[in-house]
Amino acid sequence: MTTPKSFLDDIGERISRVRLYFDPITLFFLFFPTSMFILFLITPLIGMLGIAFVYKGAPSLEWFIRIFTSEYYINFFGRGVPWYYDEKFNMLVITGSDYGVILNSLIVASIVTLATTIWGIALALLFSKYDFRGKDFLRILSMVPLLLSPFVNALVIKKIFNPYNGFINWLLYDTLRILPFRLYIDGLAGIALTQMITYYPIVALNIYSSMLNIDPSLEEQGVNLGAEGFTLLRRITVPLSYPGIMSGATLVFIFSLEDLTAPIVFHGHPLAKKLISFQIYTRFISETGLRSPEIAALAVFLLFIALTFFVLIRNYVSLRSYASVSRGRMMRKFEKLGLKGYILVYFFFLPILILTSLPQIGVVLLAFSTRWVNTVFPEGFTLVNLIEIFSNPDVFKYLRNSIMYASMALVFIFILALSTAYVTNRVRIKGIAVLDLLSTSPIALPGIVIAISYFYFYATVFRDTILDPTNVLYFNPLPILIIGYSIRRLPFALRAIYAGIQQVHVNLEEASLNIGAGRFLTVRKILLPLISPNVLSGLLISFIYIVGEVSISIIIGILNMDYAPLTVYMRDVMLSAVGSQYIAAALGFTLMSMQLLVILIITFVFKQRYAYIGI
Amino acid sequence: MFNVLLKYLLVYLHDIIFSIKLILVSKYFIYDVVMIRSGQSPTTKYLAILVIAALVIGIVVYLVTTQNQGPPTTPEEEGETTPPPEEGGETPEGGEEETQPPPTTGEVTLIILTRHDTTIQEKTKELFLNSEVAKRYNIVDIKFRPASGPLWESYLSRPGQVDVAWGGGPTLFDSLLQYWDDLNLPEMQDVLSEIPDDIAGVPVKRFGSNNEILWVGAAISSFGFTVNHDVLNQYGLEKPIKWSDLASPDFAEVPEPVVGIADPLRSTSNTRIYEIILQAYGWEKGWGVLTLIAANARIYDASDAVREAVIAGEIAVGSTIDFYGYVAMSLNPATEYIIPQGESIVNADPIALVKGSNNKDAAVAFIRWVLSEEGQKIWLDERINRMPVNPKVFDTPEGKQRSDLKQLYEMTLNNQGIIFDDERALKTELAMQYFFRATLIDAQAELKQAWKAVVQLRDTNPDKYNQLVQMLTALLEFTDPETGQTVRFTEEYAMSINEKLKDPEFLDTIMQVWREAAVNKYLEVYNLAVSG
Repeated sequence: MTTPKSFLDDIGERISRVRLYFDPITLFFLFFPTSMFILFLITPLIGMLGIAFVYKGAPSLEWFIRIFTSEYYINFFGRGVPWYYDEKFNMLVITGSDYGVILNSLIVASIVTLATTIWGIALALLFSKYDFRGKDFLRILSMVPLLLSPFVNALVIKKIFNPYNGFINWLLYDTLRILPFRLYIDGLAGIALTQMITYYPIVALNIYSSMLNIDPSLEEQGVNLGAEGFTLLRRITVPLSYPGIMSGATLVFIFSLEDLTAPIVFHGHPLAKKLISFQIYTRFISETGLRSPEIAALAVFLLFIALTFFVLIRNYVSLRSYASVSRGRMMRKFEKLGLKGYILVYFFFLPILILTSLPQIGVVLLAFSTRWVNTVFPEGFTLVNLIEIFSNPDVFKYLRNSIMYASMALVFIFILALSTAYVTNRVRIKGIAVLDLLSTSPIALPGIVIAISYFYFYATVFRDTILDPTNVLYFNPLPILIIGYSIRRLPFALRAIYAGIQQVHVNLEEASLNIGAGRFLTVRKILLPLISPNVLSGLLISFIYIVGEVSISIIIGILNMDYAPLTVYMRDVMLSAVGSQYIAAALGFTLMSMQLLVILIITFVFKQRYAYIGI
Repeated sequence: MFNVLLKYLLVYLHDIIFSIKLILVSKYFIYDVVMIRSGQSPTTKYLAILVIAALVIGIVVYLVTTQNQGPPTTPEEEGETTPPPEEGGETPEGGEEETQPPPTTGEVTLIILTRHDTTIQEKTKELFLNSEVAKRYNIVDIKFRPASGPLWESYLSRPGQVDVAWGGGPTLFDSLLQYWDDLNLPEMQDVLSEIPDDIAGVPVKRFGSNNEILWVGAAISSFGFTVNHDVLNQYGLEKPIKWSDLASPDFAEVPEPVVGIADPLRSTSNTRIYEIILQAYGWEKGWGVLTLIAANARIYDASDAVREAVIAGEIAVGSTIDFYGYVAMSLNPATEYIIPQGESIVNADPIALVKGSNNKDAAVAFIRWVLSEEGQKIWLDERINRMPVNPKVFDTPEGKQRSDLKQLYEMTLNNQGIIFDDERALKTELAMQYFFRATLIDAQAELKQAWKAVVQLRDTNPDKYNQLVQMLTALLEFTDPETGQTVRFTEEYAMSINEKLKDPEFLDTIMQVWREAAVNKYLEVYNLAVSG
């Protein structure tokens, strides 16, 4: 029961709160991102539901029933053996077996997640608990796969696992004779391998930071109570790192589900085509320009899985949870490794870490070689490929397009990230958590689903304008790409800015407001100067990930080659133009160099941290 | 040097790892605050400058780009950046009057609809823009509009958008005959007389009903496959010489497929290859051959990918158009292009004048140039290697250097081809392409499994082997989703549904029916093969 008085009090309190919060700037901060998300994230996705849930003009579950009852999509019994030994050629062939498109995707993602998590825990333990010679070198090696070179790294993995002239077989079978047979990895297994190599640093870093945050006294208490070795690990250390493990694992699971680059590179094998992402990519639009309802249903399903995992994991470890922990810096003592430890490190960890950095090394080699066919190592040295990028306007165009889109998207990202971070930090109203959730969700939403929902959305709503992707004559992807990139890559900048705002005590702003400055002036004069290093480094990270973006680029950006971004060209030359892989590798090298440059700028100029990928 | 790099990387790593922690530790942020507040922080300024700079650079680059891409002299280009002129463009008379400058006064940009790749586009620009012809007609630029076949009509149906159409194969050009303008013009006669009307029984000029010339072949090509001898040797395989060799059980005995073909929905050249096979062997037997080739194959998304895979040694044989084969040979000496004995056909790759071109004189001059010995030099480029249609080019200094190409040219002319019926192929093209995808690509895993199991019986139980091969290669039977009757995928049936496939719901439905019928058939064969 509320008495009238307390009711009035309540109203009064609300009004004063409203007056405190809702000046025009705050309103803009609240409504700009909200409307952007509603317009350019939720609406297109809902529009896709409209295709997937309609059959013969009426709402229906027909397409879902079809994909769930068809053995093409789900086949619990599986077909084919995952690996076999071929006597005639003395070859162990690993391809994976076929459980239908949906189960294949889930199985590959699960295996990749499991393997990367175990490996990530091992690495994190090694780096967070022990001290040994060469540790820094190993750490750097473990970071190498984070360098972006879409498509080319998968190509290099395929090259080094070639049964006859790949590096691995040359080393282990032909030269060292450790392997009794040739190893042939292809199909789903090839994709899983590529994804493991590419994604494990994400898990490893998440777990590592989690482990560093564990209070050492907890482990000491465990030891005092008699837990040792594996028991300590199982009962104390790993459970305390669950937040890191879970968020890393979830991200890898989703990244693996939505990955397009590995399936595109391996697509020659029949099994490599049977993955959700590849099916969506090849079939979302028929060759006569019609949209496929079956594929829309598949995309909705993929979206559903990703969202479920995202929401579950957010409840478990939210963006806030690690931000709210505050305690003094702990003294962490590292144990020295013994002889056994050194053997383990140098004969187990090091070879695997070298293996996982081979793709990036291979990309660099490929970029500077004159020829690399049918041989173990590349032949010749040339700068032609690298020069070609900058001297040939028909190649440079794509790099320029990408940089242009990325810089323009940064403006959006800046406004979006600043306003979202500001209101989610400073304004305490009901439902603000939704905005928080929305703004971080793009990291977990499959890019391919966003991309095709954009395709359907713009083709329907903006029919026959320059924004209509089916309008072959006039289509200009610029606005769509910029908005798409801004939303997909928002979380990187948002995270940095959010952390920045969180450090600035609200009193500083209130002081400014009290002495008469408006909200705008306060944000500009007080908040922005305090968080500018965060802002700049966040934007730079977003920039790099925009230039390396694949999904939206190769679905929307490809439609008018005059305006196509870099990754489209990379995909295109990988599949077509003559002697193409070298140019693609040179582009990959350029991209990796840009990323290194950004890392250096962030580290040394802004004295900031190159934030990692986490939920 | 290395040490410095190492140090940077270390710091980077260190910072990643400690990021959260450092952000959170309150002591640090107070330092930050104090430090930043004590000086008149210039960072806001930097921030503002960066944001503004990003915006300005973006806009400037965008404007520069669009200007480069659309010189204001050609009104159709304006339509590309802003929608309103597009509406104006829909009244063709008004637009044409304004925009048809006399050939010598204004600068001309030719718009060419094409399926040629960027190598050919760049070479053409390089040779043509420096030619006398370009100067005489004041042609300052060529814009290529690469578009896949199904999209061509939407370009062509708007008059004045495209001047010339070039490359994409005769099937595509024949399906769009109403858009081509007569090339039988006085100024074309000399060059037309240098080009034969047909080569190896295939028309090089398409004559209309009133003796007008609707398109002319600008290059000729044959269809065959490229082998990689290294890979053939690795697996101890014989060099295939006929299409049916690719369907051989020998290719099923390697661990994973080493034959490469491309999805017909993504590759016009492979579509043509399958059509050749279907006509060379007849519809029913042809599908049998295609089925076994697919069972032996890795199926790529593009014909270029097949060529790259042969070059890289990922596969031993790949179906390619001739010039892809020659390109492969120049990049990897272990490869060889093979024209299947008695089963190839020659294709003329057309060029045509588009009706309603805004720069007709310039467009005709361009076509005339392409067909002349000067323009034919495009094909002689080491990275292009296509066969010219005008043999006079072999008498030029550049042509004399390519005796290899001339030899291949003569070999192509002499090879016994098959009689190919364009119209018949076109009537079932969509159905063929989608049926291929549903039964041979989507169901390929099961097909491969069945075929491998059958091949095991080749020596032990030849009778059963033959019977199962028969079963595997028979025309697919399935339940027609509309009538509910059991039908076979005959040529008549394919013709009857060809147009209906343009309805997305029908397409998804029938694709699923085909896919499942095919999977069931393959599983049945597999079960029979492994059951003793």
